Amino acid sequence: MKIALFCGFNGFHQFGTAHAKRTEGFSELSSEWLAGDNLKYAFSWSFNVLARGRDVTLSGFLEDVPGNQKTFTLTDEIKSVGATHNYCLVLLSNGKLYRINAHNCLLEELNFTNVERPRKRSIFGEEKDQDTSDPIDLIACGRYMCVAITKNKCVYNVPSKIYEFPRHVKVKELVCGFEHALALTGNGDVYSWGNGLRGQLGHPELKVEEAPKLIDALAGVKMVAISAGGWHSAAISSFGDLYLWGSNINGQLGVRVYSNITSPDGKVFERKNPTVYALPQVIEPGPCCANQDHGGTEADSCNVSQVACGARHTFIRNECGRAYYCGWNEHNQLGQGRELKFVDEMREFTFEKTWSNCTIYCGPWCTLLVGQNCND
Amino acid sequence: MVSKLVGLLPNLEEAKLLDSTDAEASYVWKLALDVLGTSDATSKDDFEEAFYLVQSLADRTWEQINSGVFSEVPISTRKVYALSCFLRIVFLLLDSDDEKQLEECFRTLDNAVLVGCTTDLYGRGSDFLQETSKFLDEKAGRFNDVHFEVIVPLEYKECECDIDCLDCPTIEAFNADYFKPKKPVLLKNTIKHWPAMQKWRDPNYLLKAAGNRFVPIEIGSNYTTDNWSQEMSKFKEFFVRQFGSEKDSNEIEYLAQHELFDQIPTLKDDIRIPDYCCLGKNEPHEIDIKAWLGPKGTVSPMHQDPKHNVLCQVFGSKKVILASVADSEFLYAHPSKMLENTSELDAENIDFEKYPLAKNAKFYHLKLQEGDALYIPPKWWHFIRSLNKSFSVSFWWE
Repeated sequence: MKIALFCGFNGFHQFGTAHAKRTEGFSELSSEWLAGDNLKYAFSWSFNVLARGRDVTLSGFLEDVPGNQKTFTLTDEIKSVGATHNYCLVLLSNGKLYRINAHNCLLEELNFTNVERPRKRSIFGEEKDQDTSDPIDLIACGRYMCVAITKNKCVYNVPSKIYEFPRHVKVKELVCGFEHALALTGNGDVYSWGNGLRGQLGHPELKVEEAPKLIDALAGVKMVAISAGGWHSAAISSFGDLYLWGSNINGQLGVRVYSNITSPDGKVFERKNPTVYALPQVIEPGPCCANQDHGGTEADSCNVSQVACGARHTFIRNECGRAYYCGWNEHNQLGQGRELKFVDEMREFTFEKTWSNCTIYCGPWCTLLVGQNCND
Repeated sequence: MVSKLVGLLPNLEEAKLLDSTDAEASYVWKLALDVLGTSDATSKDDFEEAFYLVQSLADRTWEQINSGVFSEVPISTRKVYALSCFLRIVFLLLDSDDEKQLEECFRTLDNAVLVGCTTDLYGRGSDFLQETSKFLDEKAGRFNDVHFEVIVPLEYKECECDIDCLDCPTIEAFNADYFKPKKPVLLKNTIKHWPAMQKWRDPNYLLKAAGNRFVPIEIGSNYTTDNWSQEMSKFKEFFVRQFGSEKDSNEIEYLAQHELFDQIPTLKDDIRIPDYCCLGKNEPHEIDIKAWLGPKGTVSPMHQDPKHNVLCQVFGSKKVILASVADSEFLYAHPSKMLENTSELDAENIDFEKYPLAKNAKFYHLKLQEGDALYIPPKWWHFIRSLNKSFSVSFWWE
């Protein structure tokens, strides 16, 4: 049976009022989160977005009321959805893009990719019909930034065009943090742009990059998946290695936030470590099946197959099905109870039930697990 | 009584004015003020929900402030943060007043002041701030567990000084010979009348004034190195680590470039804005006053600041190396945007093979001693190393 569990922030009842007071563990979501195939999810701080077929449903703080819910039916199949702090974007299969404002729930089409070209005329002087639109292929939204890539490889910080990839480059995944974006190409390169002051771009220099720039530190290794948190980023290589970089302010890179130091009079103090890791770090989630079952060495740990980043937390899943987490938990976004403020190492996640085909989604301050429950 | 603090909170209309476009904030203000304003016992659920949403709003706004460049964050966002911190303190105190909770209150209060913006927040905003710090200080009690020896004055030595050195010049003379031509000068005896010159030597006085408060400290000897970091530390703990022993600390921490006097107004009464700062276009309240407190060995690598600067030495002494803005092209500014005002040179030990152009620059060496004030013109490069436990105050103006 299909099952959906969430943990984390529900202050605006975006996951329903029944779970409003839940401050530890995971809560099971109602079946509306699961019905249908090919569901798309997006999460803002104060509302959630769920797309199914041609319908998109927003729930949470809408029209300035918490626990509100609105459904919109669009003209074509929904290809993807994204959410910023105050609106959501909906991309249709036909390449059209719509925006829904959470404040007033108004839906409008966004049209910024049209290219003005000189009108061509036939030899008889008639205007030729010419398609000037450039349909949108991929979108991604972060809290303060939205990006889009068109069929013609034009990159937009919505709605401004910032770059054009060469024809042969195929962008297959696009993700967005609070204020930075990552693009994964078909041949496994990762490009980044936006604000890099917290190391989230993976370049040695901490600065703003106006246009996509290849992450040199990852070049040469084929990447197969990417994710962007608030101020951190993740990539998985074709060898199943996990790379994390950016801000570790709450341990979201799985790296220690504090170390112990001794003062001159012998007292031991906790001392904060540097929080910015500008270059991708390989993070070992820790011992996995290979070590335990076959007496293997650490090098035998299972391949990482999925990574999802929230504002300041990270979840990963290995091919064997084991999951790990790290980062900020003050809003129970790791499902560990709000008393535990953060986890600064990769810790194994224990599923309450036996799961298979689990997919992990991270919103800014929440985590959603969708999968099959094998016990039924 | 916490109810006194509740009475100093804004009403809903005042709260909504902070940022009328922030619908989530307006919702949280209403919920929280309703719960706090009801004299009858509210339900536990309502209290907890409002408490939680206030904390969530503070966290969200903190993320908002920490995205982008701090100087470009709208004041309205920082005001929303400040008020969510105020409300959080009230909820924390109503919830419990054990030691851990009080510490969280101090931390939240200092975040409101340092990360948020508490200036002109609302009518009774400054009263809330003042009463809350008084209330928390009374609850938290004094520091009877530690006692420090008074820091002994250093003997004033006449030493070589590569720039002009004057005893209390008149404002007219300072203006004509240094301020207008933008030329550095060492000013003697201009701050000897400050109460701070005596009072701050007594660590117990500083602890009483600031011990419970959280201040930003820089860890590691200088900010261009990899193991440098910043954190908020309780003033008392920073002080015990860095001043609590005759031995030098094994790790240098520096309370640097901090607007301590806005945070703790009683300390501001111990200093006076130098008369020279009236030259220029700033009103007294527009002058940036920063505190620099640390052990022996703190280093500010060679860098430049955009404003006029008078650096005053209250106790301890500092080694200073200056270079003219005219020599900037020889000083190898860091290529990255974050460090572009900082030179790659180690001014104390320049590697001329690596940085051959530096030979063309003229460096001015001097020692800043207790009671001295150094005028650094805008964009003049300066390197500073503390030679003892040291407390300086800088005044930046335009």
